Amino acid sequence: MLFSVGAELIIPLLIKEIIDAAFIKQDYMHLKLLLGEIFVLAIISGGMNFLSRISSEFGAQKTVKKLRNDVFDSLINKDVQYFMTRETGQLLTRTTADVEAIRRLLSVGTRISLQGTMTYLGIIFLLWKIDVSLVMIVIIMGVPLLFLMLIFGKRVGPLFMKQRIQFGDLSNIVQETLEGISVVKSYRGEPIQKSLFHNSNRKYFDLQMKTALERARFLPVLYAALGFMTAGVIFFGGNAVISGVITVGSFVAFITYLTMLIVPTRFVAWFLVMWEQAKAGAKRLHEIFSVPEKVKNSPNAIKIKGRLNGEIIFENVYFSYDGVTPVLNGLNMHINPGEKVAILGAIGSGKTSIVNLIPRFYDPQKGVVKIDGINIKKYDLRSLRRQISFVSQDTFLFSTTIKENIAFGKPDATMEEIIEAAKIAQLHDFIMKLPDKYDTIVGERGIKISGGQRQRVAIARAVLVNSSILILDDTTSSIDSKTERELQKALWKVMEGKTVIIITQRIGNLRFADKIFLVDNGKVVESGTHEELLNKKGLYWEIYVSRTLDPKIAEAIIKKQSIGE
Amino acid sequence: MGFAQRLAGSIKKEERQYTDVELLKFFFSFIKPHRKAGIITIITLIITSILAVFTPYVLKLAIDNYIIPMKFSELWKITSIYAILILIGWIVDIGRIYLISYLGQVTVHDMRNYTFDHLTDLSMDFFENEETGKLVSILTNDIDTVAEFLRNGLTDIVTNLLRLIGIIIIMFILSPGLTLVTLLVTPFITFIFYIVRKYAREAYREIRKSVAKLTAKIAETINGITVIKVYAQEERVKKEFGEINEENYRANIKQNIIVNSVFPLIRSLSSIAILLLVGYAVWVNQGLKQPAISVGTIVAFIRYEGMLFDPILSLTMFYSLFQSAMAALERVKRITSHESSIKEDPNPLIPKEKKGKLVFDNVWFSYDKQRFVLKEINLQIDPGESVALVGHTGAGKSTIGKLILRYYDPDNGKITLDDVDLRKLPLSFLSKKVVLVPQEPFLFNNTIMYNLKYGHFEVTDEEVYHVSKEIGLDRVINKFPQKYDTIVGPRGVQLSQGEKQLLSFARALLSKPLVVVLDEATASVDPFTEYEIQKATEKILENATTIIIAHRLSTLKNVDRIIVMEEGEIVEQGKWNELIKKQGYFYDYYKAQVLSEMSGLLQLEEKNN
Repeated sequence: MLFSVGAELIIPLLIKEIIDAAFIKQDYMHLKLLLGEIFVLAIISGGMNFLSRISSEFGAQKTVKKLRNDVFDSLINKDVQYFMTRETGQLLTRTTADVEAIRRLLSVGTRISLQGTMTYLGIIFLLWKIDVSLVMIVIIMGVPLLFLMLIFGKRVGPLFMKQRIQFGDLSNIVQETLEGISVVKSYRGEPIQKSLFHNSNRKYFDLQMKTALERARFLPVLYAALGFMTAGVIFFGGNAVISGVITVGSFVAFITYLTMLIVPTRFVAWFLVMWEQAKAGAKRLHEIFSVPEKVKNSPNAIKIKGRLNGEIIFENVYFSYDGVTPVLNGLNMHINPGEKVAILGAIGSGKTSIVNLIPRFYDPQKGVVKIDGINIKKYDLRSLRRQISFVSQDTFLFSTTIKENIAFGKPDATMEEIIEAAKIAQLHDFIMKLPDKYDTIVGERGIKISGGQRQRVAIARAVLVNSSILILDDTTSSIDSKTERELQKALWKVMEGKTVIIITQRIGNLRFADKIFLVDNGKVVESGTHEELLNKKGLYWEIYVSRTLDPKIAEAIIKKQSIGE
Repeated sequence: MGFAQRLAGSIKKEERQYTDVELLKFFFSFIKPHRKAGIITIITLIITSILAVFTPYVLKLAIDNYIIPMKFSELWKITSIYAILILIGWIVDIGRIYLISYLGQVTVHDMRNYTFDHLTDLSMDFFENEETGKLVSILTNDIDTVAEFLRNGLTDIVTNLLRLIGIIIIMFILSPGLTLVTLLVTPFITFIFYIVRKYAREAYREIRKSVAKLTAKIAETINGITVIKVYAQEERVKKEFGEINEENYRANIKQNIIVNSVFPLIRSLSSIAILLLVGYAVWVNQGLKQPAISVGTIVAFIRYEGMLFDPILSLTMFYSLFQSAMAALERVKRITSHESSIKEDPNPLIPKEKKGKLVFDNVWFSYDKQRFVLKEINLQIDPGESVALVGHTGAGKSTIGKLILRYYDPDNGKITLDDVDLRKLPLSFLSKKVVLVPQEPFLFNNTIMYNLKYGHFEVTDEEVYHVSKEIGLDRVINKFPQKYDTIVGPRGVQLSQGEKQLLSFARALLSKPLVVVLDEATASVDPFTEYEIQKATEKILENATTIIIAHRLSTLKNVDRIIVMEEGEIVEQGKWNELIKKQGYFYDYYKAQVLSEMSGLLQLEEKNN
């Protein structure tokens, strides 16, 4: 870079020589030499410029690549809680737009700032050599300009930050309106959403205009200052030529140097904008890095090799998501290896929270969860999770083939295994009807499939992993009863030798369970087999009766069935 | 002209619904209301261009007419003229920068509002087939691209064209010979730009593609985070991300090598152009007493030469800005010219009596105009009646619900509400009176109270408390320290599925509908709460017509009528007891379900034996 700037700066000096030689001394021999020199310098300057650009670019791109990987790694290791409290859109802009802002600063910003500074210093130095008094013009105008620009940066910086946030807000409104379009439509919410959007859009516009005002105030000053410098040079420089202090060539060189300052001056404003944007980006990225993970490996964590027996114990567990609202209040639960248990409870009783603690999505505030007699905090986190298949209420599909979705937890699964899992989940027939069979793309960018089918993909995913603990959190709510019956039959085989925890709202499903836990207010209030609980005539019995499954008809059907149909 | 033709010609016509002219017309329709600002902007552009062209000329005059002839006493005159020109430039520049921003932002602001409004007014069938992410990106990124085009592309091209023409004219006036020499390098530069443009565009497209991939990957990771964590696939996902990131890195490097080789080349050529013009001037002046080309002219030319490359550069840059703006405009226009398939009748009718009588008169319907999902549906649902739709997946239950809500219109036959064809009803009336409670509840990231009152903010807090209590929702809400002021989080993540369903149910009850469609509305609600909901619903919706779609047949004991559907046809209807007695379709379903619910027990017995 030094070479390229240097070479470029020498050219006007040579022009000075030429003009003085041609117009004043009329020395043509010298002239040819000078012209040759300009040519060589032009080539050198270009070549060096290329090299400096490329080398700074490589450095910047490499750094950004690493930064982006680091951000992603940090993000993926965050607690589940972290994602629950943040908008997807906001996290997205951080990993994309904010990293991009830093990239711009690194790749373009560093180069132009270095090049600009060097050009400025070089020109001042060379002008100094031509004529000291003329340099004073540049310095007198330049120094206040520099301060002015710093003020500009300070004023524009916060505006950029606000703009970003406002833009995030704007996209969130769009996102929310579209995701909830059926609610918007059926409750005539269009005017509400429109006015929300219009307000946000207006605010964004106002912020943009505030920035524009700052730019309009400050940027023209830069160009005007250069113009006034030239005017000063015309007057004082012209005076100097007339009085013979400097030559016409020097005067021309001076003017040419001022011309060369236009680009780096433009850089100053450019750079300040980049700097402020990158600063805002860096601040937001810092938030990702600085939030500590609460759920993490303890020192000397035990790596689980082979299979766990699957004994699960909750000992006096207290848990709250936000630290204020209690969800589990001294929960005790004992599940033997290989037992099939069901958890039943009213809305908000804490059922899902119980199972969320087993793969350590969250850690309890008080009490311990043990598997095979060891506090789960002592296990290596990932080796613990590999022992667990978890099908949650919100079934998530990745935008890839149905095959890869099923094999998500076991990427090296054979096609036979995948088909087997799909068959168990009662999905195979459906898949075979799809245009590309197992290679059909599903998810956000693929074909739309129904809620029940999504749940079955999630079940197939869980089945394929040979885990020792299987957790099904209300996973058949969208599946019709005929399919569910088949599904249950098939699942029964898979459950062999595994500890299974099922949360369900279909009370009939509970009968198969080795044990039923009735949860209320974050505590187990009743537990036992279906018969035991019915005989107890407690809360379970009450629910069972209140549930309108008519025992008389049920009995009749079973009787008829056993007589032989 | 050749340039413009090339522009138009080289844009791929395939995948294009609109011509560039149509898109530009669409674009200018948003600028039209701000005509005045546009005209003033153009005036400022013209003034700044003229000033830019003239200032080097004044410099030439200063050198040739004052400095070299040594007219010191009058030097201040020309200096003042120069300074005044700069001053005018300064003032005009302030206006220019502000106005360009204003024009860009105000246009985009209007376009955003227009697009959003149009989008929200579209009928539901549109949203059933569109990806949310894509639509969000159109409203944000695409419209931003258009703003960028206006701010940088369009104004730059106007300024630069004006400048280019001005410079060439003044250069010719000063010295035709020198002009030709100076312009000698421009064919090379244009040629370089032309060659590079193709590669740069390709590289740029690669970058765009990899950025889109990166974004999608991150979004997917965030949304599927629990699945990734529970299957301990973090390392694999990281690796996949790393690969896409590497792809992005390579694309960036490629683009940068291309772009960065151009600028130094141009700088070199620019220096060579100076060399040529100085050399030419010296050669012409050789041996002459009175130089044919003055020092002032040379200085002015060095300045003009520097100003020449900017316009050429931005003319070539304009192409890519133009192209991406056209692509973005295309997507915006595609949405905004999408017409709702469900339209309001120009002369809408409001029923005389608002009771909630629904009649299906020989209704046929298909989604794809080929396979009928509903066949010859004839059905009358009386005011206040509660009707359950029962059948396998794909029997057409949900479709009936969607037709009642007018997400779609029937292909044949008609549906009437209180004896008025749904197509004749004002849309606002229909959506006010007919409410759907879906299986997938949606909550806004706002307070519980806001969510309950959404769409009917006139409801009093007391009414909200009352309804919540009736259906057992208050128990859930009172758990939270902030009660009804609790923020539910994005998409209601702070609540469980069952809690969300309960809230969504309460919202429907509070809107006091004439007709309610419950599509598996309580599938994730526990039996105990469901029982409460049923009792409460009977009370609150006493006069409303209720259509229930449910898998759990045992919840349907108290409905007035059960309608069994099979393959788009009604095959059986009647009261619970009648249907059980009849031992037809419904009886079979029920038996299957009871057996399914018993199957665990049966298998347990088998196992024990």
